[in-house]
Amino acid sequence: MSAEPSAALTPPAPPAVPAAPAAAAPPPRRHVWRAYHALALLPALGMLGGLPFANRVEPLVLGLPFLVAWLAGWVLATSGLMAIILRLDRRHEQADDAAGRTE
Amino acid sequence: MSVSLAILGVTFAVAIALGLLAKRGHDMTLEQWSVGGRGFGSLFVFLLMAGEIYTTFTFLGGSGWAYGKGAPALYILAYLTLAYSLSYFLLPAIWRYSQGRGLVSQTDFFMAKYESPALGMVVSVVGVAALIPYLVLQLKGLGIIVSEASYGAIAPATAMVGGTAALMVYVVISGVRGSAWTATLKDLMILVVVVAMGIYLPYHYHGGFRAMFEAIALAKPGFLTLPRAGMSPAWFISTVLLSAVGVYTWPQLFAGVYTAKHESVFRKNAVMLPLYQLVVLFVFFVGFAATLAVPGLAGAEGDLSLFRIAKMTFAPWVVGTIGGAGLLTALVPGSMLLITAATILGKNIFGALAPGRSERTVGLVARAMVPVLALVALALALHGGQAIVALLLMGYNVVTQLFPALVLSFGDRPRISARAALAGILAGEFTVAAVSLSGSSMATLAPSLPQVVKDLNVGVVALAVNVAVIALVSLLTPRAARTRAG
Repeated sequence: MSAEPSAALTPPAPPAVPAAPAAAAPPPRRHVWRAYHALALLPALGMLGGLPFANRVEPLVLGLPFLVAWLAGWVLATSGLMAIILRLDRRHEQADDAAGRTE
Repeated sequence: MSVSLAILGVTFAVAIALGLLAKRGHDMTLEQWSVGGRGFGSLFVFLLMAGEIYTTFTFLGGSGWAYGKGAPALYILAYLTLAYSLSYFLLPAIWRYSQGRGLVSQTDFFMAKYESPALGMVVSVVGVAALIPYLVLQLKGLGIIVSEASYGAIAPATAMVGGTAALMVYVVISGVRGSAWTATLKDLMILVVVVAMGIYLPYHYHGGFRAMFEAIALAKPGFLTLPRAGMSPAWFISTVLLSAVGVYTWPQLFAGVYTAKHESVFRKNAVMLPLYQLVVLFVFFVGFAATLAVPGLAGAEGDLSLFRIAKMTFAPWVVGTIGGAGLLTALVPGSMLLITAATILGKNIFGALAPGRSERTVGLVARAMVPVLALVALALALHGGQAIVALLLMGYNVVTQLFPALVLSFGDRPRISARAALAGILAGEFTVAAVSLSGSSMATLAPSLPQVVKDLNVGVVALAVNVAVIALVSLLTPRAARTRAG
């Protein structure tokens, strides 16, 4: 957890924006879209797309109306999905950093 | 009663003391004052981001909606969750761009991206126009909370004056550091208070969650699902999506992004914040418990349901503690709103109208704007009637109009010209104003269309106009002018 930030702060390339006043700031990592980022769309699809099916009281789940439980379940799932994305991103970034240093 | 008053007083005093202590060891340049010298770690950024979302609106309005409207209140839970999944990608991009450019406000970001002073001025005005009603709402909420929790011993107006004075002092002195410190106390208190109430009340009145919801379903059929027309699934979906994209167009959240030391903070937050905001669920439970326990609060009075049921159920010291937590939900977001609006006024509006001033002067002007803004908000809170509510409803739609231009600004250079962005924002804002001031809804705009369309949040229209104008201007602008930077 504490290892990556420092790794991310030391990429080899020079600052890309010469006009920027503080050239001392390291050029931050660029965002790369990867296929698994699409997982982040699942909460929207599930929460909202599932409404016609989930808009009901019965059956109660853990004592909660079904609609409440459905949305709360998706909140938990969102956290899990974002954790998966974070883990995969970190793995890719570590691989990139390792490759970058051998240049 | 005097016990609850004492607890309120102590919370208030501790909050101010924390706010003032936060300055220690920091020279308050504009960058320190507005964005904490960009040195905040995970916890502070987490609390600032979460703290600005748990405002009096969530505390009073969330329980009030559950009390008065039932299932439609759940939209709050849904839109915040989607906003957090969006934040994983959006906030690091904003943060990365802010690095090394000295950005302290949302306007700075748009100005740097689009290299257009005109666009900057429009973004500034939009930001301040949306922030002021939001600040007014926090003060009004503070008045309600203190007067309820003190059993009427302190009038709402007195509470608003006192709260405003405290805000002014610690915001001028400590800036965003004060907000971060008080946010820590606030989140601890809110967490304990809301979870305890949300669990205790259903058990106390009904013997459990299942029994409570069964009783509500029996007494108020249809209350626990979205209705077929009105606040229907179509309304829910459109409102959730609009609100989710709107969250990070609020200028104070933009400023919150700049406070972070490192971008990894935002990605971790995107994992933690959905869990953290499940607390909102307990706010709803309080409102649901109150629908049967303290019936009869109509319309806006529903916002009082949390305190009404608390006073009926708990000893004064508990009510005082709830009030203390509520007080902080007004003070912390209120302070961030003040800092952000003052920074925009000082740096982006004064700075643009009187160019060539030193950083120090701009910083002093920004801080001098704090009392001005606070007093304007106080006056509106004390004297403004329904106009404020109308403005506030507009506020969310107003800032959301920045979303297309924000998203299209990412990449090596913006995908649209400054002119297109400006035209889109202006067209969107005029639509928001026209629709809000005429009290239109999709049902009045399109009476012959199917119910699904009629239930759509009317904010969709403004955003659609915005995007259409961006597309139109981009098509009409010669490509050469578009690709040439500034």
